[in-house]
Amino acid sequence: MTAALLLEVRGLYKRFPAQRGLLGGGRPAVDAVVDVDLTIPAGSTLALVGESGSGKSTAGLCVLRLVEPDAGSIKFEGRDLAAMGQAALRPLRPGFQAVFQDPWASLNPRLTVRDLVGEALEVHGLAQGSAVDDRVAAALKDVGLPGDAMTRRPSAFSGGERQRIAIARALALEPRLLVCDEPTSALDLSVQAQVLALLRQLQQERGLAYLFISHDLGVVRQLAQQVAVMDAGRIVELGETRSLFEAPCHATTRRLLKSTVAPRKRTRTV
Amino acid sequence: MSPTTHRQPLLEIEDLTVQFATADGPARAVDGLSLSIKPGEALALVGESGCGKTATALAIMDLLPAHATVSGTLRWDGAALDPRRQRGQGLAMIFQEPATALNPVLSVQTQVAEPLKVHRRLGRLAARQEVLRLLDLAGLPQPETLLGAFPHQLSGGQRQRVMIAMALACQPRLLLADEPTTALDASVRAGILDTLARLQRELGLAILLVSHDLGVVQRIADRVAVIYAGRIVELAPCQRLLEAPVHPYTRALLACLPDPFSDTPPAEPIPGQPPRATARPTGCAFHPRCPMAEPACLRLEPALEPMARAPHRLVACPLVHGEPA
Repeated sequence: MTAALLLEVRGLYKRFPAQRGLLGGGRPAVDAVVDVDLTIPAGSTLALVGESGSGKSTAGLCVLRLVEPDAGSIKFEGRDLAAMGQAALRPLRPGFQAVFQDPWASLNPRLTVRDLVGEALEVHGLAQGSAVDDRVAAALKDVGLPGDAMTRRPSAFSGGERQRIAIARALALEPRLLVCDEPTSALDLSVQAQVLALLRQLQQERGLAYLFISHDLGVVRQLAQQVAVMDAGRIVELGETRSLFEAPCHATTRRLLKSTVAPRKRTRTV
Repeated sequence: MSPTTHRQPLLEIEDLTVQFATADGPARAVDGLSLSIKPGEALALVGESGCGKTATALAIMDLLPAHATVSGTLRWDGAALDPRRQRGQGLAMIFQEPATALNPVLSVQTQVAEPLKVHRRLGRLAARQEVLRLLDLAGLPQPETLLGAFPHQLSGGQRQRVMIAMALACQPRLLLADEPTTALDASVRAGILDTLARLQRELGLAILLVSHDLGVVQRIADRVAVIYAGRIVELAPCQRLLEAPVHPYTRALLACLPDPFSDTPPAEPIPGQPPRATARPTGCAFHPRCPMAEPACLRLEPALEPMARAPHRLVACPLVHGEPA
């Protein structure tokens, strides 16, 4: 890869300390992310795959600094996010945004779409007054939602439309990196296809880069140039998508591929 | 094809309609659905959210809420189905979310033993032995270590296996499985599906699987019924349907399927969205999104009929009726 690195993660480490439960239960300390190195060139997609509990979501949240990493560096456009305080981080946040799995949970049901999408613009001082409306309208248009969506609340939308709202909210800030955590897992097959097509189109048009967290290897194959396989907090295999799928080296990768319940569509030769 | 093909259907559904009263007027979740399940057969109802597949399963079990209006005929072994009599005995159901379907304050032993005491009137010791046998049958190793466990102490896969053990308690002939693996991890999913397939084989259990996931369906189903807007649009042997879908909706849906094993070009999304249950289009419900739609499709409700060249495949679209299958 000769393109400039947008994101460069080195030695990322996160431990959740042991917890004692109220009733004597509790859980031992968990090393959720251990020595994770990742790089994403501008405009490219890296998929982080693994089973639940493998640490892929925690790694994504660390990159977003929504979970505080215990060690490691997270260089975004050359600056180490891990070394900054939250106040210093705030002006950089528009550059890296997130889309989460469940659009029923990630959108405040009491806000209108205008406020949901426009709030971050106001918080970051990127627009005020009617300029907010204009940028919200533009973001909604970019994700294929009608302009009259602005005045409605999330309950008026289907799952796929909600996920478009979540994408519009991230896009309004003109980020260079989107961390997408299972963005289509809660969606129907045809809706998933629409959202994936939108993500591909946005990447082509704007040179967006994705850190795409998913357990669905079919989706990953369609979207990612590179894949990192996680198991028990560590990256166990990293490579170019096609070669990793066709010649998996690590046992975890093979197990994930094997347990992928994907219909074998044999092409008919008539 | 299974050797039971020519036996009398276990369950026959004829012209089932389920309507809910909503603030926006009546919502027709199931719209004249007909289907039959043979003994020992695994049949999958496949479709996207809101297409009526769960409402169909709940109608069979008579578990729909009071504001639902149900019409149509259900026959069990040739006679009218009395779901309240068959429930637990002939019919059993497992649900998507075993964490909420199980009672959180009862131990595994108590929950699995309950139907044994109620329906089979087993005593305490006999019930304990039977609980151990059922847990083992559901694929839980060392079941005696689980008897005292509460649901929150079990993994998602273990919980679903406890649900399966409960469902098997009264030796049902038909198991309704509503998205049984949707809440589970991919690796756990395969194990549960293998268990269901083994139970079908070993016990001669018929399974009605409700799922949106074609990968799950392929692991279990002998036949697949594709539902769109409350109606079956295509019914075919599973592998044939996946290899050579005929109905325009089935074709479009399969084209959306991301395949990890090939560099197929990105799927063509189906334009638009499924119709709301309160506002079904006239004629064929798929016509507003169908690439083949003709003016007649707006008027005529296509019947589900055997294909001209493959009578074991049914399709509700006159435009593809004569195609090779």
